[in-house]
Amino acid sequence: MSDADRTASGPHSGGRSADDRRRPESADPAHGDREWFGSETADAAAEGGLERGERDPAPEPAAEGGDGRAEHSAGRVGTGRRSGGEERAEGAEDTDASAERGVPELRPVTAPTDTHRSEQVAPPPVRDRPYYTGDAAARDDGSAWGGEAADEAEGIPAEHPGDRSGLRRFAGGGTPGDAPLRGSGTEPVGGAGEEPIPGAERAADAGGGRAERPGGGDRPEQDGAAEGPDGHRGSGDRVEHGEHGRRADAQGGGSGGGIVGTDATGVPVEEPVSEPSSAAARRRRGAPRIVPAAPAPPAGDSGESGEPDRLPPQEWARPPAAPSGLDGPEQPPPPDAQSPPYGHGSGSPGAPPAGPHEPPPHAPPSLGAPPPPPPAPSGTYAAPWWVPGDHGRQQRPPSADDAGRADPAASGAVWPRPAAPAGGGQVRFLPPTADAPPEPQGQAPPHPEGGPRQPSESDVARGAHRTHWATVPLQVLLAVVVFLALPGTLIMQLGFGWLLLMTLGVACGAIAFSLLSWWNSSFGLRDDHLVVHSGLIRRASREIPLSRLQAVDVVRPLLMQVLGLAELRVELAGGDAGEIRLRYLTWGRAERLRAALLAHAAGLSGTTPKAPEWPFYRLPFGLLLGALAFRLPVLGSVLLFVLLIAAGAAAFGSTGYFEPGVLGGAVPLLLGLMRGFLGPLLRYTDFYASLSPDGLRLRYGIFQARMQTVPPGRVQAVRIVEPVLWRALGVVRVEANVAGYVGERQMDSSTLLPVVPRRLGYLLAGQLFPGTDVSRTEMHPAGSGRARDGALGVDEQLFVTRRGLVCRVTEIVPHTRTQSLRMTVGPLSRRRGVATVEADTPPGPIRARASGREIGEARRIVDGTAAYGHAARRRSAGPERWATRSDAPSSPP
Amino acid sequence: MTARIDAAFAAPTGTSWTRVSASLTWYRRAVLVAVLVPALVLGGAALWIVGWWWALAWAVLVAVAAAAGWWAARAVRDTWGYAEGETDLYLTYGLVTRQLVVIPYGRMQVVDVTSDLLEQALGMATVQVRTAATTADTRIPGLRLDDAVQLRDRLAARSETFSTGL
Repeated sequence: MSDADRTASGPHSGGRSADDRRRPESADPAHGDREWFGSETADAAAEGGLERGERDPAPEPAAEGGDGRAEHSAGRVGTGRRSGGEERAEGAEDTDASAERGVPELRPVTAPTDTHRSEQVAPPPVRDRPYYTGDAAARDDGSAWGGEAADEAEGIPAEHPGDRSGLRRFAGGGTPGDAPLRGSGTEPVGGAGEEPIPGAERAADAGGGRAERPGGGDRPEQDGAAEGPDGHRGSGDRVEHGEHGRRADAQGGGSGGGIVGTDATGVPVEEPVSEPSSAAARRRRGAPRIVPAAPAPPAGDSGESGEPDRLPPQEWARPPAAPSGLDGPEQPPPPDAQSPPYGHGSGSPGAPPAGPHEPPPHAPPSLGAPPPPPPAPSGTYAAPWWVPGDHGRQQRPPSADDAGRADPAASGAVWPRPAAPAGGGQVRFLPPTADAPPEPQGQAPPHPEGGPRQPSESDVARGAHRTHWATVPLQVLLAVVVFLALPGTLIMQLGFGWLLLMTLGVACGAIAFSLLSWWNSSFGLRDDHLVVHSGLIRRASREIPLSRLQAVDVVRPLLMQVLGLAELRVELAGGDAGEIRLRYLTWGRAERLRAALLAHAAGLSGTTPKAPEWPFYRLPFGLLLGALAFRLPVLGSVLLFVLLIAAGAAAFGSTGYFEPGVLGGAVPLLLGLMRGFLGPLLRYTDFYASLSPDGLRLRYGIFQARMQTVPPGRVQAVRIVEPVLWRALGVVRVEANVAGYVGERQMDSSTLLPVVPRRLGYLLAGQLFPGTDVSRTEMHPAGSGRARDGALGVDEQLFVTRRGLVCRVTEIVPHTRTQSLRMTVGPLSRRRGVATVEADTPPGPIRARASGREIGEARRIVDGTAAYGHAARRRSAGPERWATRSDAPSSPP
Repeated sequence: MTARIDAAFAAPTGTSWTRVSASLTWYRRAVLVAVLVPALVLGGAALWIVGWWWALAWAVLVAVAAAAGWWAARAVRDTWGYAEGETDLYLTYGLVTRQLVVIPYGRMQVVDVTSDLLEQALGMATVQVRTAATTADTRIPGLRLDDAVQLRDRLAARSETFSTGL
């Protein structure tokens, strides 16, 4: 929103004046805030409604939308519009504004990622906090609307930045407008689902039935690049696309509903979608295939209607649906129709919920497509990738985007969602930097797939197993080497014979010990538990409930890569002891076990095939190298080092002798460089991130290849670090708090993306916390007026702080993950009348804390955030068994 | 300013701070004495060797510390307070650095009641609330034993009700 806007409307927040009652007029555009906590609560309450209405004085029709919202309880529509209006209004300025605020200019990506949230969106009204209330109430209405309206097929909203729920709904309900998109093969991004783009053109596009890349016009920064991300983010919405596509297909070019066109001002003209028709469409598509369990309710709320379609993608996830059923013996009860197994709301980043965005016509992949026999119904549907013999296909999915272009149908068919691009191959999950998205499968460890399936090996997912026998010789070897390295050199003085003898003794001891302990240890999956027995002298047996699993890593040091082995680490919350290491397994088994663990954690059968993946980002080596080098500390050390050496050389030249002092300075510098530059460089070589229904998957490293999988909802907080020089490059680093990564592993594993274009960094944050959009959170500078105090933004979903003048750090904690809130007033800040507000999260590098907030404001922030948090928690189910929850898990109690 | 700070640290609407029992003051004072007396004796004895004036200075120092501690024990006790809101537990404490902590019931992983010997003697207990955030381990000391147990039960029940996982 433009400054002007802001100023006009909101009460000012964090103002610096001592008087916290300051009125809106106080003009400091910088803080504009509409519903910020700076205002007195009472006032805020009073104004809440108004503000909203006034807020967009946007000259455009949008304004009307705004008003509408204020008054009509139908709200959502209004809201949607309003926001649209806002956006539109902002249009150009927005960029500036955001720049000023330091808000990432991600706009286009706003699409809500998780489809599931639809119903959750209505935050339970928390009435006692006025400032919050105004909002909440409004929102409620909106959501309500969402529900019903959807039915009515209001269709719209193509843009609704603010509320995703509406959107989501639509997705289901309908914006057929897009359908054509798909068809045309252009950018799916335009999809109804994500309307982040300032609406006008998008609407226009939609109307046109063309799928153009929305957004292109006004936001230069986003274009191009945007696609990747959008597509990505879109994943959530993909479903919708799929739907639309299909529906459109059914109905014929979008005439059915949704945005049909735009008026001159760019306001989308909406036409209600006729549900029936969509239903018909669905039918035509072969509803049966879809969800056996859940016949699509014809008129159901749009959200639901969408679901059936969504299901397909989750096939792997949902065995139940399949008529034939998955092979898994213990299949979870079919999650019902509505919920796509994975990807459920709270969690999965890219997840499938997003679904199915398959190519419209073809493939509604059979929903439950049972793995075994590719369901006939899905014509083009290729056999599920996991079907033996179809390996090529397996790898396909990841590459979907690429493939998508070439062969939309095929790619889409398999894993519809990501592939979404079905229609338009343009969706790229890769950053703009990577022109040609590498085939995912290349890096993807698809290979292992072969492993697990080898008939010769028993299925790790069942029964008890031992680690690979090679573990024994390796341990013995290690013991011998250590022995030789340490005491060995001393013993050498006694003579070679002795050394040999003792080495032999050590080796024998080691063999006996490791053989026995290897024999005595085992692991296996039992129900939803991982049971690990270990120990020779002190027997230990641990039984780990997989629903508590925080992350699963597969680590392969160089030697293990050569031998084809891998170590599997299961991270649990609970400190350093909360880690299970299984070493070593063959790579294939490790992969298989990982998949099984994650499937169990998701609440699915352990025999569920491996989850598909959609590429998110591949870090080009050049960028990694450049970015790591292009940092002040690194450049500074190099400079110092060179100077030192030069000085040393000069001294040597003039005096003739070497000044050892030079080394005293140079060596530490060199060590520092190795640690700060070489370390990350080697560590993150070949970095590749992808999204999958079972979480965010990271692969990196050559000398030590690692694959981390962080399930949906397990990321507790994220921060985006922008060293000063990187800002020039437009890249950032993304780190996260994951409860399993504590102690030493925290340093190792908390970096999610070492170097990534800024927009992708924010995009990932949006993926990790579905339904949120950091770029939309308004940041409010501290009232203290000191720049180093940074800024804070709180919206319904996020608590965002930004600080650091040189190295800018943006920390993001979703309310659903906040453990507690804390307001602190120290002796010094007491004198200044300021306080620090902090959102506590499980341990990690992130401590979201905003200092220098005016004290009254601080308290309002705490109360307001607590209320948001309560609402957010009610809406979201916990992260456990993310695949089985129904879509509406949210069902607010 | 003070008024504003107090306003900022007020209990949530509809509730008021439940202050902890006065025994906490005596608990702290007892601890204070238990620390200062040996310090006085040992330090004094050691310094006496150096010179009686040093010992005297030490004694004065200890006395001042004792006086400050005596007063602070009371003042700190007064700053402790908790309030059970509808969805969150509010906690405030701190004399020099004032803190307000808001812990949603749903986030409580463990609620403990502990009571050491001295606390038992004074008939009080400490309720400790743990969340997944280690920084947020919070305790409410100086509750009467019965109150502590009841509080724990209430909190445990609510954490169950509002539970949302990690």
